[in-house]
Amino acid sequence: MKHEQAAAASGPAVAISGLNKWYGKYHALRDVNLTVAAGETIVICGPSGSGKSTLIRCINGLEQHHQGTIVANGLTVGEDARTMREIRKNTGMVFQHFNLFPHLTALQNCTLALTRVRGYGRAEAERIAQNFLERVRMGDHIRKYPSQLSGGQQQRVAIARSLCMKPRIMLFDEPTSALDPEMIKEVLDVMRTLAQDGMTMICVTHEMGFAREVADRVVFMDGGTIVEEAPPAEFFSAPRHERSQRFLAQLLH
Amino acid sequence: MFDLQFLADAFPVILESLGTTLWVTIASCALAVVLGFMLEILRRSSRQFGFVFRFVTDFIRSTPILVQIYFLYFVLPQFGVTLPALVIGVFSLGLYYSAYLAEVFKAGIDAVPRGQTEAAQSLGLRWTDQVVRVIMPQMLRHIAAPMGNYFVSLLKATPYLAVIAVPEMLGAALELGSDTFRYAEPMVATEIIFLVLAIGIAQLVRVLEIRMMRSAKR
Repeated sequence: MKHEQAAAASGPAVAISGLNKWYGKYHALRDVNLTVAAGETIVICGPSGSGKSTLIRCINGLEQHHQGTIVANGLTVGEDARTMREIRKNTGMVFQHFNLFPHLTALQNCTLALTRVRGYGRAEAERIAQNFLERVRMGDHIRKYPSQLSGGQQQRVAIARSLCMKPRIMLFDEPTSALDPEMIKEVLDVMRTLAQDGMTMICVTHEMGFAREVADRVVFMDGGTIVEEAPPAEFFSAPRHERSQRFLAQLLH
Repeated sequence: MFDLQFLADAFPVILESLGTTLWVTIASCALAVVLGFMLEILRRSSRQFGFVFRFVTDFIRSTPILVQIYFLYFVLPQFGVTLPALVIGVFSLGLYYSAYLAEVFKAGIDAVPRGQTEAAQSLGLRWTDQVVRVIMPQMLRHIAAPMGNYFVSLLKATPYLAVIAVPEMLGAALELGSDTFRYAEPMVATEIIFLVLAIGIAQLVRVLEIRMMRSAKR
C-alpha cells in the first residue's frame, strides 16, 4: 500500500542507468540499471565483491562512478559540489561500522548536522534529536558516548542521526554485519518500522529473513552486474538465474 | 673561578629578555601550527600541486635552520622587503617548525578512520565542518604529545635568533659576557632558565594529554 502513497510523489526516488565503475583495471560495476520508486524498500544481496556496497556508495557520491547517470530525488549525482551536498542532505546513510563520532555524545552525534547543515538552533536541534533517539528506543542513553554503548545501540543511534535530517532516501550498507547475533534483531526492528512508515530504503544486507519479510524487491548482484531483480516471494521460491540459485543454496547451508 | 654571586646577578639581567623569548616562542608556535596545518591540507587535497607543497616541506626540513634565518635576514632586503629582526625571527622559526608540524598533522589525520569523514560527508556537512567538527577534535588526542615536543624544541631554538640580533635571552647573556669578560655564569644562568621553561612546557603538555586521554575513555 505504501506504493500508492509513493506514486503520488513525482518521479522515482533513485534512477540509475548505464552505471559503470572501475577500480584501476577492475571493473566493479557493469552497466547497472536500477530504478527505485519513492517509498520502496529494496534489498540488494549477492556474494562479497559483487559491487553491492559500491553501488549504494555511488548514490551519495562516496564513490565516484565513471559512466552512466544516477539521479537521486531529481538531482544528478556528481554534477558539482553543491548538488552533491544537496543530495547528501536528503540521503541518509548507515554504515557497517556505525561510524558514530566518538568525541560526541549520542545526542551531539544527532544534533551536529541539524545545527551545521540544517541551521537549527541548539534547543530545536536537541528536541528533534531526542525525538528520533526515542523512536529508535535510545531515549535513555542520549548523554552517553559511543564507547559506552553496545554495537546494536550504536547502530540505532547512527540510524537516528540519519533520520534527524529527514532524508527522503535511506541507504543501509550492511548495517548488521558487524553486530553480535543478539543485537541484530533490535536494528532490524528499527529498519522494519522505518519501511512500514514508507521510507525509501536501499539496503545491502545478508539478512534474508528481513528481505523476505520487508523488501518490495530483491536485487541480486554478482560480478558487478544486477543478475536478477524480483519480489522476495518470487526470488526466494523460484530464482530464475543459475547464479541466484547457487547463492541461495549456499545461504541455506 | 665560578662566581656564585655573579651567577645570581646574571639572572635578572638575562630575565629582562625572557619576555622576548616567550613572545617569540608563542608567536612562532602559533604560526607553525597554522602554516603546518595549511601545508598538510594543501599537500593532501591538491592533486596537481600537492607535489609542490611536499617539496616545500621536504626542503625546509632538510636544510639547516641557521642558514634559513640568515637567508631570510640578508636576502629578503635585496628584494626590497625590510622587516624588523624580530619579525624575521618569528617567521623563520614558524616556517621551519611548520614543516615538522605538517608531518605531525599528517599522522594525526591518518589516525582518524576514513569512516569518520564518510559519515560527515554523508550528513551533508561542509568541508570546513568536516575538518573542524569531526577530524580535528579526534586528531588532537593523537598529536598532543608530539606537538608538545616540537613546542619545547622551538623554545630551545630561539637562541638561534641571537645571530640576527633579536634581543632574546642568549643575546642578553652574550652581551653580559662581552661586557664583563665572564661567560661561564651568564651561560649557566641561561641554561637554567631554559631548563625550567622546557620542563614547565613539557609538564603542561603532559597534564593536557592525560586530561584528553581521560575524556577519550568516556
